[in-house]
Amino acid sequence: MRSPRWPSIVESVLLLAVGLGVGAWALFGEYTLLMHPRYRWLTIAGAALVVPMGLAVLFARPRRVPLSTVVAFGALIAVVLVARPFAAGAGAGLAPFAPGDGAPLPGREGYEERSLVEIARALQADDETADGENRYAMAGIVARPDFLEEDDDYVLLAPFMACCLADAIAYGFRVRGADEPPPAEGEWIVVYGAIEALAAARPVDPFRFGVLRWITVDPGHAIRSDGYVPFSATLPTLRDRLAGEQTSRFLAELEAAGLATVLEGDGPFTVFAPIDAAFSAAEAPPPVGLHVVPGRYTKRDLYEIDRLGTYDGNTLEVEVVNGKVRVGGARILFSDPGLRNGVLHLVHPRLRGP
Amino acid sequence: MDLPESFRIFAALGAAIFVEALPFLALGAMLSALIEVFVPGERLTRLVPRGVLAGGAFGVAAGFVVPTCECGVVPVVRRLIRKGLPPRAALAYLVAAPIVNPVVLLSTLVAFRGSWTMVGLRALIAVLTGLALAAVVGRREVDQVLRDGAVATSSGHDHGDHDHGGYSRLLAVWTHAARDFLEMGKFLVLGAGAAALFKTFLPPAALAVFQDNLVLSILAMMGLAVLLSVCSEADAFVAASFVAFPTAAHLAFIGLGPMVDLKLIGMHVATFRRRVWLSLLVVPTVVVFVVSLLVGVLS
Repeated sequence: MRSPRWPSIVESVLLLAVGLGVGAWALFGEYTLLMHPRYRWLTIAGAALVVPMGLAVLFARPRRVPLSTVVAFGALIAVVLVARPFAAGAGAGLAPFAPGDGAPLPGREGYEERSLVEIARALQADDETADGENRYAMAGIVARPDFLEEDDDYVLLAPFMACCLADAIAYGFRVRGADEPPPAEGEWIVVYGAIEALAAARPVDPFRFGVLRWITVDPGHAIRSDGYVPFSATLPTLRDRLAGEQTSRFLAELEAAGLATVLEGDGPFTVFAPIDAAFSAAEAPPPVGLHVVPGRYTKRDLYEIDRLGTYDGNTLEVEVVNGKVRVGGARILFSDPGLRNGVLHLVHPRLRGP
Repeated sequence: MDLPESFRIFAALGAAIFVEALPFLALGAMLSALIEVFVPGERLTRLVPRGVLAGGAFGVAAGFVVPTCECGVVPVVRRLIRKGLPPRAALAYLVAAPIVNPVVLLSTLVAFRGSWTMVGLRALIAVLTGLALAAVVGRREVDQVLRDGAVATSSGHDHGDHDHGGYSRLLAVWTHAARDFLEMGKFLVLGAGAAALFKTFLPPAALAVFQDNLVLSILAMMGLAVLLSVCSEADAFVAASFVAFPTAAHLAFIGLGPMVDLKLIGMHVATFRRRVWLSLLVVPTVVVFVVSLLVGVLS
């Protein structure tokens, strides 16, 4: 083994920065901002290969590192650190996936759940979907491009991402029918209606919307809307989420204290739910209201806060220990920010009061 | 920091392309390193038939058996050529492997709603291009194909020739892989950046003027495939979304992209001599154009 010299150190730094950075983001970060979730394992595997490469070069014979390599990777790291495309809120502003993607849409009698992507593809093959008779529940993003002639019309977009954000496309349909109140641009909604063929095709040029750089609107069909609901209405509540396997004991305490129904309401609340394994018969339980905080605080938000006011009027201390946030002395094991009325954090052990 | 939206979009798109390609480049670098350390050169030479086209056919067939993404295939092919695999077979494999792998063909089938014709045509383009490249490369030797700096191995000798012991070989594998990854990775970064720039600033309506003319639509989609540098596992969905363009133009997009794009051009220029990388640019372009045009005229 030879002592590492500076070219080897440069190579190692570049490789470890890429491997550890990408790996950490794939494991713990907002992966679906840039990549389809089915490839998470592949990204982690790739990063896991790069990290040992970064260590191996420290023990190999040093070799001159081309300046072009340092410049290219340095520019990549710099752009990523400045623009932070891997972080929600600091990225390009539009995640291709609907919040809670995959959950069934709220049912309405007579309306079949159908994705706009499936409808667009079916229409390319035949026109049976556009008979005006079949009624569908369709989720999408609202866009109001300049080319729309009628003020009440809008375009409902369904993004589709096969692999990564760079190949994300969107299928769009005009929506006709004066929905009240009119949905806001950029809002995810579920529209109930039928697909109808237009008497005369109305071709429009492709347009952009946020990170969706290539959107085509079907020129020959439109959605006749019978109404819509915000997509957030389809998401589970905090109460629904707490009915899962790991938080049954905490839910029982909430119900005994009469707080479970509060967590079915509009909120928003942030709940720090101790997992069942955190319960110990030897300890006196803290008040259950200590675990409920008015407001919506994601894990990222907690890094910027020193204390939180709880539902029962107490205060929780928030601290960062070895780079990890702790609330009331408890570690956050898992967070779910995609709920209708708040954010759920699973914690261990139970929170420590004032 | 309040950054312009276009910069944030550029960064997101560029980062996405890089992250998507990273596992494949890492795998390609590892495979290349394993070949370097463990595969004796003469064994590869004996595998390939002596005829030029037969060698090309061998390379194409290897693409069916050992699939590789376009981001990882260049370091693998470079190493195979250094180890003695005839360039006619290696370059045929270079262009065919990213297309004829099961994931790509399946995604093509799904994106084009079960059209086996599109799948067959895409595979046909790969086969024809591989054979054509083999014919162009002929019986050129290693030093006529690889650039000077790429001919010598990084350690100056064939690891298969003597036994360094297990630890030394293990370290050699990871070190070779690391250096291949960095060398090819910089072209991935540059290509991802260029593709992100085009995707951020190219007006979507710019292509609309070409969609009604067969020849222009094919050429436009070929150009777009090079500029967007979409991964071959996803390009079929992107192509299918251009509903106003004819099927022949879709075929041109998915035919050319895995063989020629901004990521690959840089890697090819760095790895191969000028005649070879020009062939890697021209031959696929001609084959894709001719096949797509025939499809458009006959359909």
